[in-house]
Amino acid sequence: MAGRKKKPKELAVAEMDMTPMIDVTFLLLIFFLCLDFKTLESKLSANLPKDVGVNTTDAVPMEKLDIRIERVKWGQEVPDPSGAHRHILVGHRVKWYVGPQPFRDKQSFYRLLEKEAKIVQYNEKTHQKEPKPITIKTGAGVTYGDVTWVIDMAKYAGFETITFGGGGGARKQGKK
Amino acid sequence: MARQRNKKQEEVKMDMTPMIDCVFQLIIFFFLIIDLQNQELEDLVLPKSDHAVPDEQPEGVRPIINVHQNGRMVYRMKDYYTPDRPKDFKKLDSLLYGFAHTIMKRKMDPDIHKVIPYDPLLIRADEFTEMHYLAKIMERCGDEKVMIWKIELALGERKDGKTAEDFVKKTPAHK
Repeated sequence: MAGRKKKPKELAVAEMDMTPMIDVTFLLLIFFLCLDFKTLESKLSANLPKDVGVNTTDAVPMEKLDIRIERVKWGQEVPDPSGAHRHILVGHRVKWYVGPQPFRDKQSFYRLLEKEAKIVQYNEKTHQKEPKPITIKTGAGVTYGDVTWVIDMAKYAGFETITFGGGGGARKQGKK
Repeated sequence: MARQRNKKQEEVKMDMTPMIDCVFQLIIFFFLIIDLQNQELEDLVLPKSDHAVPDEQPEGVRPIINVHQNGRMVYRMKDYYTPDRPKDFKKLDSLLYGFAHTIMKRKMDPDIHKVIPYDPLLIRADEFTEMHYLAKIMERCGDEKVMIWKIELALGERKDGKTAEDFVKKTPAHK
């Protein structure tokens, strides 16, 4: 045993085949690059009144167009057919008031908006002629979709400034 | 006479380590981006619109509050208001106060001579969410201690092919 000569060990180089790992990594990278990171959403801008409480600053008087949205019928709550955990309202109806004047159909409401948007007034702050600002007020049982529809139409008619007024509170549960 | 040599084919080995490093860094980056996006946006069915401006990345800071159909208000996957405690707005109030005083850019407003936030707040809500839930957010935004006055309402893209132009063309008075 003692007289036996030790053979010099050859250092074996362990080489790992990197090709499959690089393949997988590149596939992952391509997958992430192909994902669309942009959120396909859009937005409508609106303002809230800035002058809350008692202000000592002079307010420039300006004519506004008041739009009030009131619920006519709270629709039937039906589970969303797409399978999402929500319900849709079937037969949900609202009416719109421009000042004291009520509108029940979309066309006549839009026609009035279009007519009102053509009436411009001088804005002392911007020193430009602009359509009146719109103030939206909502009654109980009005949905987010009802409000965004009105803003959408108002923007299309030519109104630029949209503010929110007071709301009508919550709908009484079970009330149609 | 040309002498022929036995040419040994030399193996050219490329060092793949820096490339793999870069690729892994990119994958980690994308993973993080996806995670951050999911935190901001809840799975909601937004109302459709034609005249909304495409929502591009805003210049400043823009917090996003999601409002579910039942009124649940969520910011970064955390509930700040639940309809089972209808009068408890403490969390929402402190959230909005935090937005207004820590993350939003503030400026002196020439109209009211006060320093107020100038970054917008994006509200995302389901199409059939009752408006009074959103009105609660707006009401609290208008609080003297908060004074967030720029609001953006999130909308989806219309997929049914109908546009507002189609609707308007039907109206007799439209020119």
